[in-house]
Amino acid sequence: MALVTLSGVRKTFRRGRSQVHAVNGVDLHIEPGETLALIGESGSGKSTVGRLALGLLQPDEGTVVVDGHHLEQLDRKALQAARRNMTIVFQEPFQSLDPLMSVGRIIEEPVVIHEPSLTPAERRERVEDTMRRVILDPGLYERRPRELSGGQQQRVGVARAIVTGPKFVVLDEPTSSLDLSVQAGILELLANLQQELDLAYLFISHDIGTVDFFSDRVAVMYLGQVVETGPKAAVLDTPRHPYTEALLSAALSADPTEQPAHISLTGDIPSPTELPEGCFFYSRCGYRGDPRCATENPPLREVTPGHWVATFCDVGSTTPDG
Amino acid sequence: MAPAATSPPAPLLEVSNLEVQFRSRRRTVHAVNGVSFSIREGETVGLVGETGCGKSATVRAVIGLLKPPGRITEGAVRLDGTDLVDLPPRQLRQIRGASIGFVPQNPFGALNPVLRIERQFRNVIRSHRRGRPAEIRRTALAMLDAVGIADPERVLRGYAHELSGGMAQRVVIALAMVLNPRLVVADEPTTGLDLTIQRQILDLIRDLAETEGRSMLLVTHDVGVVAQYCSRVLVMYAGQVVESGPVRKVLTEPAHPYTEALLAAVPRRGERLVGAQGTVPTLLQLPPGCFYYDRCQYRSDPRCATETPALREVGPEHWAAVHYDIGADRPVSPLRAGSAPGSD
Repeated sequence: MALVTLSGVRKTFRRGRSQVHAVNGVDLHIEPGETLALIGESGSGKSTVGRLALGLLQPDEGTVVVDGHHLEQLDRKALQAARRNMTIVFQEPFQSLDPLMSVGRIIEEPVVIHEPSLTPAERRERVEDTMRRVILDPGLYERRPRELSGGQQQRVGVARAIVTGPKFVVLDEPTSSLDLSVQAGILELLANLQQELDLAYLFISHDIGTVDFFSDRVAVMYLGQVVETGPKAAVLDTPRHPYTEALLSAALSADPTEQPAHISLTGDIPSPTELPEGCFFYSRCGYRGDPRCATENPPLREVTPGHWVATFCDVGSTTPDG
Repeated sequence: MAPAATSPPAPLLEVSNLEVQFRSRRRTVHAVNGVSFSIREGETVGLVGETGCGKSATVRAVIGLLKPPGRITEGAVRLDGTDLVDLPPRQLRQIRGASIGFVPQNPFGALNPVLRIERQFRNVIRSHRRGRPAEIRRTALAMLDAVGIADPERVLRGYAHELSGGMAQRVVIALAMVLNPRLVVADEPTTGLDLTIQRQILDLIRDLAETEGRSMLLVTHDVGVVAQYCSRVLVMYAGQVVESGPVRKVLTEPAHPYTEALLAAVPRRGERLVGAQGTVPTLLQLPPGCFYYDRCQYRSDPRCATETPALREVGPEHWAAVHYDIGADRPVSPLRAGSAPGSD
């Protein structure tokens, strides 16, 4: 059974007099120990989905189930208890760490909340074990975040996320502010921790190379909807949605001998305050032709086992394989 | 020996032995330590490196926009033969504004938030030549059109905050190109932009450079940008250029262990990632030997610890600052390193 299930989730924010439709009917599931990557551009709603999956936001419609708990039905106290099992690593390590607290206390805080019966000595031992686990010298226990490098700061963020032994961790662009060589160390660490602790990850990213390296399955978001999802190789090698195809073609290969064709998108992503009728990608699509494209929002349909796409057209059948 | 049919064109930009320091009462940061490179007419050169490697200080020194306490303590920056380093500010402004177009990382930092875009075009153009408002307006409209702004009239009337990130960067590019510069310097021009927008902006900058035969210095931390948009690349580490050469050569057969490590850190499916070992020197006190010594997997030569290696030619137009030859020990191209048989 899936560890995390989102069904028919919608979320709208109010901004002045207008409504921002951030998430518009999302279904996702994550199995224990697997990584689902959520890719898409700014404003596609991927971070909002991450927060909904943790119960940090309440959906307007739909359900979020994590480890058997219906998050939208839990009261404050029960939700807090459930949080022991589900945590997050943020994009900006420094901004997500309290500058006045020591590294040790930052990592310790979730233990204080979730395991109040532990003695200070037991907590200290847990924190130091966790620091070693994320390859952070326990000698840094008394340091402040600003005294650490960016990579060390993110290791503190990871330590804080795993210290209570969660089953599900949202990784919200955990390496996008880090240098390449530092990113490599953090990704390696996250992959090892997943193996050792059987963690399920929701990996939010806009970097295709990292997603390709890191994930098992991929979901592509556009304007608050999942437009394509499936096993990594299926989605990245044989995209079936025109948006996925364009997004992947914009990724820059680090190999100068590879120069894949680029499909340039015209226009901008439509405003989430006024959702278009029909397919949300209609205004920028190079494949539109079906009469339903302009009037009906296509539901996800399964094109090969586990590979779902929300289109009326078929990209795979009209383009040469890439 | 037969003379070459055509002598190689003189470089448009020539930077020699550049040193930049940031001095405060308590300490001196050696940000750039003897950087030399040149850019020929019509050539796009990538400058790649990680945070703190000195690439931004190098660029700021080249365009004469180094902020105090940073200053050039040594070296020359020649544009078309004229050394810009000791030029009086007035003259420097004239040359720089008209000959070098600068595209910074954050377009909103480059645009004045309280002036209409039209006024900003007028300011740029009028600081270098005369122009009647109507003519300046026509020039600005044509330029905005050339950078792919759909409704240039409206953008010209408006302010920076009304633009999206991608649009703002297009406006900045239009402002950078409006005086028809021969050299374009772009400092991480697409960092923070979405993938599809990044691609459009890079294509735009390249097309604008190519059609006019402009030279370009493209600063980035993204190996993909170098691979797809540059013909030559300079790799910086700890304030030095540690390797330079044709992109196809440097990215497939790097001669410096740092370049090799950087490429091994690019994530690829099914391949192992190799993170950095050791630490970057602080730049407060430069190490006596090779700056990469502490992180180097290959160090063996006795000179590594005591002598800072100079750039030496390791192939045609391919230079590396290293005492030994890593190629001999390397089984396969680093771009495929993880899939080498027997590697685990």
